Amino acid sequence: MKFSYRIILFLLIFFWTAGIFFEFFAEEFPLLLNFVPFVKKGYSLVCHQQPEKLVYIFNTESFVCSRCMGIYSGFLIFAFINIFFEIKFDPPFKLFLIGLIPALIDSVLVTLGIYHYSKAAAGFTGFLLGTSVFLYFYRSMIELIAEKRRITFEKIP
Amino acid sequence: MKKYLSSFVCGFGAGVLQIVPVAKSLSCCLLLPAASFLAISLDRKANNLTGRIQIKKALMIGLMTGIYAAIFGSVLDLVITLITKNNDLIAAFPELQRMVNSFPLNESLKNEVLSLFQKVREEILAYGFSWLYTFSVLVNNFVVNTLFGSIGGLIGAQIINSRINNTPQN
Repeated sequence: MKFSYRIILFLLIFFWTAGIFFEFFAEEFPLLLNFVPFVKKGYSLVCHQQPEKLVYIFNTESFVCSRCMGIYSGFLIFAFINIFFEIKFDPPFKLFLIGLIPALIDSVLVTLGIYHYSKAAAGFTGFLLGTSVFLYFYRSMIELIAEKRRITFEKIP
Repeated sequence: MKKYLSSFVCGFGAGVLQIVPVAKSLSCCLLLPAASFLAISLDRKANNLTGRIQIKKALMIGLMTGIYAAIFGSVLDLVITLITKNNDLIAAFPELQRMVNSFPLNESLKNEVLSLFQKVREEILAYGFSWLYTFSVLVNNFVVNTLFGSIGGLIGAQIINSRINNTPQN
């Protein structure tokens, strides 16, 4: 994938992840205050937003729980690394399981009440899942571009 | 419609889980991608496909799952608000007041922000409907669900293809 595309991909993920701290930005730029409830509602579609699971930064709460934040952080960090060192390998299925199983186990054990919810554990397992999922996502993007090129070439007489 | 039946089914499920109270507590950033993944798997089962899946096709199934989830989610949200005359925005209003008052802003700006939401709150409490709320629900649902549905389609296709690559061929 072109260098410029990789930067655009990183920027898109960056803006989505930055939106988690919209309340913090609203404190700095009061005009944004008008949008806080609507942006929060937007993030509520992709996170339960249970207050005890949210992350607090400078007394302002994030719009997603620590596990979701871990997932987005994994995505963001790997998208950043990917700008300079392009990830070219085809991720095996095992990698998905390695990313998914810790998050699944943590989630199930907390739900069963075997131990209490830990933001650090949720964040870390989310991060593992986010990084593994990014590899699949990026590989898919590369293949999508390749498919599109193939179709374009086939159309040329 | 028949072409995207699996997207319709999974999109409906995701839309319900995102909006309906109680089920909403299960909502997660993986819900829509998981719905897209399930839609792709269902589509493959229904059409007896066993080979590698085209990424473009998976993307379309994911996108359609997101669109259906957005349609069902928006309709359910608006209908529930209309019937109950209550929603998240109303529940969050005291918190919003506390947040705005805690910010180091001048009084006129604080009043301006709060009056906007007060108006939306009063409309919903009186009629169960607000144009601004409806607009925000539609925009949020369509942007977020189509985005996450598409991402789920892309990731799902790659996961399915990686499983096929690992399966020994006879």
